[in-house]
Amino acid sequence: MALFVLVALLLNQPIMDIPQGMVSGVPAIIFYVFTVWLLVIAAMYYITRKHSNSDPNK
Amino acid sequence: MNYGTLIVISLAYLGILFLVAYLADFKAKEGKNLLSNPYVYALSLAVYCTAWTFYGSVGKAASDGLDFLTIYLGPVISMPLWWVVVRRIIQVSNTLKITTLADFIATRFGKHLGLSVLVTLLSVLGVVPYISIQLKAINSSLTTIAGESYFDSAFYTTIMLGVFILIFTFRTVDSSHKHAGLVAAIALESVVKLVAFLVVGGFITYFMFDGFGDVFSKATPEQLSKYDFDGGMQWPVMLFLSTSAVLFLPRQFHVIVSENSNLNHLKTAMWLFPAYLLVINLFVIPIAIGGENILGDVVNPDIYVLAMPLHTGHKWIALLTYIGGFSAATGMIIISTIALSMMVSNNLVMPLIIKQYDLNRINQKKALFTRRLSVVVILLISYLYFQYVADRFSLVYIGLISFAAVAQFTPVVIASLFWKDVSQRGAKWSLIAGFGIWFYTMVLPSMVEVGLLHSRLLEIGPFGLSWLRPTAFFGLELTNPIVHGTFWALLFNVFFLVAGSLSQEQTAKERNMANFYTEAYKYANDYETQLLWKGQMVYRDLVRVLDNILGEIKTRIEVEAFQQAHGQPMLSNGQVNPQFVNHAERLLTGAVGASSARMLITSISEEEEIELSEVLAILKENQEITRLNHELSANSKELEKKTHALEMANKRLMNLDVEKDDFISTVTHEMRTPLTSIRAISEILYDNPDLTEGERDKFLSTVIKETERMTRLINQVLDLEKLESGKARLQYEQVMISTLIQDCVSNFKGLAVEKNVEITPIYEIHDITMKVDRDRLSQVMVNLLSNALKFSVENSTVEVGLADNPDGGILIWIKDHGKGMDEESLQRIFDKFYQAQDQTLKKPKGTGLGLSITKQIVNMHGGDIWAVSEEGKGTTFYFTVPYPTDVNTTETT
Amino acid sequence: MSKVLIVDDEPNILMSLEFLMKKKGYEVFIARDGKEALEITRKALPEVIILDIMMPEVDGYEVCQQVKSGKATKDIKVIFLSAKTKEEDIKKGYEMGADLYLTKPFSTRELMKDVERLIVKQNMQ
Repeated sequence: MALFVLVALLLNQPIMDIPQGMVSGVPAIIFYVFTVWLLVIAAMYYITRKHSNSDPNK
Repeated sequence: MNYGTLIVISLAYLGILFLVAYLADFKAKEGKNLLSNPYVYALSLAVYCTAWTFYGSVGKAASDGLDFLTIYLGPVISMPLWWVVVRRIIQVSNTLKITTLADFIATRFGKHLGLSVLVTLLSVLGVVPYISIQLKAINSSLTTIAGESYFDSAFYTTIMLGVFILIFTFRTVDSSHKHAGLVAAIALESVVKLVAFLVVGGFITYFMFDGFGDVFSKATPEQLSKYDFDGGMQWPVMLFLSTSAVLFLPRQFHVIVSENSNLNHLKTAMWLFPAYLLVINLFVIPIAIGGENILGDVVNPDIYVLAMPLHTGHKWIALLTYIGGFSAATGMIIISTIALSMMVSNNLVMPLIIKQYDLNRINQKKALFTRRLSVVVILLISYLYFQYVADRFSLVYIGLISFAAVAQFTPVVIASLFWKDVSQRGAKWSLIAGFGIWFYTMVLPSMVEVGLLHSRLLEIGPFGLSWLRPTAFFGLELTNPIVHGTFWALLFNVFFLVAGSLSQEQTAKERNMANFYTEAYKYANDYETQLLWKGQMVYRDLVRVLDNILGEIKTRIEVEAFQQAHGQPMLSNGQVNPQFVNHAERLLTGAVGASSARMLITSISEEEEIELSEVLAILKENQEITRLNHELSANSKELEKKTHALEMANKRLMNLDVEKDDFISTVTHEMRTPLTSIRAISEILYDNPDLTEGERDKFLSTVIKETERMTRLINQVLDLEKLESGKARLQYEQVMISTLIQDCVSNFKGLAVEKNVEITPIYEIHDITMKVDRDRLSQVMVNLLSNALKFSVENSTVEVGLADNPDGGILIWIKDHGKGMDEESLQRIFDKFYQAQDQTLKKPKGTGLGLSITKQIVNMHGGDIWAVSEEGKGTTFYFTVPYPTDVNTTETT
Repeated sequence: MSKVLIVDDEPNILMSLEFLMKKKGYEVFIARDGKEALEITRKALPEVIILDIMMPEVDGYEVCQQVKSGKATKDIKVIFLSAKTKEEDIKKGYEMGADLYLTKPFSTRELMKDVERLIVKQNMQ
């Protein structure tokens, strides 16, 4: 739940305004978005792995 | 490229899909169900990415920059919530055999037909355009590659897809039956489009350019500025739209909920799906920028993906891309059509049939027929829409309108899961309001564009009321019609949801459902027994209906299963067991949808209204029962644990029993030996008066020694018994430890000299006095010293040490340099009667009880004793004596 | 002169038994454990073995079995003399092939009579 709020904040104003300029030839904002995206995937993977040890019918 | 070739290739692709679906179904029958693979499930969710993703993303990126990402970021951001929300939806749906969104909503609110019709109509209205733009995409992609169009490819595609659907679905009436072949085909389709997009994306980025960096460096500042974050309401609104769309689009609901066979698959999907979305979006921006640079305004940005490889003459890549797009489009069409036709046949057609026909004539064939008919109808409508309307609008625009349509379901669904008080009226009002506004603000303007309505409507509003202008309520012209429409639609939607709910009392049935959706879904199995039907229904009638709809075989199976689990479905008076009514209704829902099932049930019964108070009472009772159930299972776990503990204790007791027996037999055995000598010698002395003095002395001294030996044994046995049973009490007194040790050592002077062993004291702390049992501790020292000496070799030393124990108390050790012992012996030395083998003596001296007693005494003081040994080098015994807690120790230096 | 082998790991018992046998005029051999017992048996071939059971390494049972199965030794009479007095112990002793099983403590007079009887029997074979 907390993850959702965090990510929602990260990918909206005002934080989205911050990355400016270029990073290794790519606009920073794009870089930033995709990085956050990757992190979310990783987080989901990790969380669901942890969950795998418990009963899904909670 | 030759048109004919393209057709053949498209057909070939569809053929592969057919094949895969067929194989998957076949395998499923054999038992090797692909559906049990979580990756298949997760991939099937990617049907979310349609031709829009393939073509439209690039187009939108080229025109609006970053905004296209919202379509995919919405699902990503909301992914953490899925475990809560989606899981519950799946659980509820599985239990109640809900297979469509219409059923999900309607069931919650009393299965009112009107509600399910509403949901169905709105879904159709929202999604048919979406289907048609897929057809459009196929058409234009064909045209682009072939350069011209001979005939109406869309028409034939539609036919082919129709055939596909009819073959692989709706073969049994029970639509809660999972379609392995279908899902497998969709998963494959997801892979194909991903691969295709990656190939063309990679081609453009790395072949036509030199990588990401190169693409961006070749971008004009104007282009780059498009990708700045613009802010504004657009972004969050679109995020919201995609979040709801990924769940409530009919095709999404179908693959996520209806085809889910294992809740655990959801876990895989929760990371795999966002990952898929990420990968498929990697190359969008480079393609957009690169395309604009190379092809400029000549070409519609939607087609960049195809145009670029064609531009450089790489026909095969273009072909692959085409297949990808074709795949994406067909996937969407297939699933959406299925989902929509299920809703249409269940909620629009079936009820009509039920009303018109005698129940006896309603049967499986008819049910299947209606469903198949619906498929055809939907495809037909989509095709017509495509022909006459779709061309006017961009892929993106129509897609977003669809999104906005299904977004209107969000408040109702979320409320039904989390707010107990939302009522039927609230749901109805919410949907009507939401869709009304949606229609007014988004569909009307498009109709104006097409020329169906006068543009005056947009400019000055209906009846001249400017604050009611479709694209600018109250003068607020928010960003664009989509944002504007969504905002207002949702606003009214939620408002009326709340208002409607508050203004209506829930019926008993609703209350029950509300309870289930919000809480009781957890107790899915117990739910079966919730008794919430009152009325009269003849069993035979019910069976007849079931036979007709489900088929006789399945009906019999279900009846038997019910008998096993819950008892007789038929009461003694021929009436139906109310529990079975619930069960039957659920089965029928799986076949013909919730509303139709409801109609069937009511048509053969005379129901009675259940009072709300009754319901509440029953609910409370059920809560109690489930609570008790849980307590019971918790208790039975407790019981298990306790039983186990009891078993262990019993085993230990039996062991102790055996131990005791062993002990007794060993002791008596040990006693017999000295007795034997004593008796034999006594008889000898008696029978031989003429022994020499020397002989007589020898014999008599032996007798004396043996009696002493026996006495020692008896004493030790008694001592050990006293210590072990706790009858012995330690007599504490202040003792100077070093003195005690010294006293004991001096006892062994003689023996030490004999073996030429030197006993060396090593006192690290001197003059320490503490409260111990002097006699008992001496006993310990004597025992350990005598062992040490016994096992020492000649001319060696025995060290006796006294030191501080860092954990509190003192540590004493006795180290000999004898032959040591092996691991096995080391483990057993403290056992009763265990005597280590000593090669210097043929028969061990002593009783074997010494160390047992020593250990007891040390333990009674609260300390530990242990030994370390190395074969050939020697043995060291350590023991600790902690400071008695209620006593002070003094150390005088 | 008849030969008797006494086997026991308790020196005091050996002492008593040795005295008794020598007094009667037998040639006495002594072994303190099973291994020694077997060696002496094969070399000296006594007529009777008085055999303790509980001994380290090679116990009395083992000795009896080997004696009774050896070609040269199978006619030697074996008397078990043991502190194991339970019924099943005695049964096992006879199953091992013993000619007689006596329990400790024993009667010296009885023992002497038994030894004599067995020697006579052995000589008659």
